[in-house]
Amino acid sequence: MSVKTGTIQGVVGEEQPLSRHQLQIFRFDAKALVAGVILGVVMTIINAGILERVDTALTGGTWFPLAGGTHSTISVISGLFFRLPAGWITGETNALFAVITGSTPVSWAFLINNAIYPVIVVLVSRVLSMKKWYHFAVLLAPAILIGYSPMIPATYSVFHLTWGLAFKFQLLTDVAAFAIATVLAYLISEAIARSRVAD
Amino acid sequence: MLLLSITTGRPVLLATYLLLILTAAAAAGVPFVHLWPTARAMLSVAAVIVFIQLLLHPGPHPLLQVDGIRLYREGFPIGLEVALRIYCIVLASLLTFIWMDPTALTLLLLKTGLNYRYAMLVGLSLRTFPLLERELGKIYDSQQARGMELRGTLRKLIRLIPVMMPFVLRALRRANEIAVAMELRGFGYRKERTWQRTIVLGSRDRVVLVVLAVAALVYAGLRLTDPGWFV
Repeated sequence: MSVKTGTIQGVVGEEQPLSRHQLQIFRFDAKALVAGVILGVVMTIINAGILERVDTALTGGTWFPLAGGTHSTISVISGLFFRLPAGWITGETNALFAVITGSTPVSWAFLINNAIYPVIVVLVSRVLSMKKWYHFAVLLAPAILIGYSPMIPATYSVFHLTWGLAFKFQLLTDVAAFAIATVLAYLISEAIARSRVAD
Repeated sequence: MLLLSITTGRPVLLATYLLLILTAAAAAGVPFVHLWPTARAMLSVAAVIVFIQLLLHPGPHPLLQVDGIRLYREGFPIGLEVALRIYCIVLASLLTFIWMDPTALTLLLLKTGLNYRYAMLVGLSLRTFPLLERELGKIYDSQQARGMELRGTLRKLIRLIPVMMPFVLRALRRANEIAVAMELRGFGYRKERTWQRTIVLGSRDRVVLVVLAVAALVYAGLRLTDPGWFV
């Protein structure tokens, strides 16, 4: 027996997903597109304005302990609630502004990162309800590892590092982003679902 | 200029490109004070980059040694190259967006065949940026009025959640309002839409495009025949 819950078909007794649109891959309505842009600008203001600058000042832009966390958080929110192409729009808006403002020397590589990252978020969030904090950990692990991997050749080429060092720096970013984003994405996604601003 | 600065490794060439960018800015009437805040912010980044290169490129000529940490002179040209490249990329990108009108950009994207639903989003992002920045300022003020100490970068970092949560929620509410307003005006109702302004390539634009295409071909040819000159 099944019941209709908005746009998704839920089975009685099964945990309902956090977002009404979680089973969809694409959302082309105006709200999703606009929200994609707005979240991209939000990510840019938080990251390029504060965190990437701090990261770049501390590490020279070789790794991003702080900006990775908020980048992952906003990317997950965008992909989870607004799906594709909003996830892409969010990421590419951020990448575009990062290039313009020169927030980091490797900002051009964000264009590639942010094309891959939302796809993983959207696909993994289809099979999880995203109601528990560890769902976010499960979602973020592949998203960060695969989505951020283009940063390795970018760091290698821009900073003339060795491959080993480029891998190590990336691993540090991944660990920091995973730890920060698991907490932030869970808390903010819960708040968004409760407030129903994304419905 | 972006392509040139990414594909060149010679500090002399990169410095020339940087000079060209600044000359173009001056010729176009962009005062240096508009570029200075970004250039100044990049100074600390450039310093860190040069330091990292001095540290990471060991050679026979040590420059400085402090408590076992040794800096080498061999890293300096590489650090200088990376720093100059970053300056070229950042200032060229910044100038492009200082010159470009958001509506003109949207119209240009439409000319390339992009659907208007997506072409409009680039302009929208440029327009909403200052609005959302103001919104974040208000959130900082509100939280400070509630007794939260948010002065200084470190305090802002520590108290990220109480600022980020309302910021995201308010931004999504704004997105909702914009989307409703757009839909009420018939956004997405028809496949094609009309515009108050149109953009047409003039003869001067065509000449510039041809010159740029020829220059890109010559550059690619030179790079292929004499790659050592550029690296």
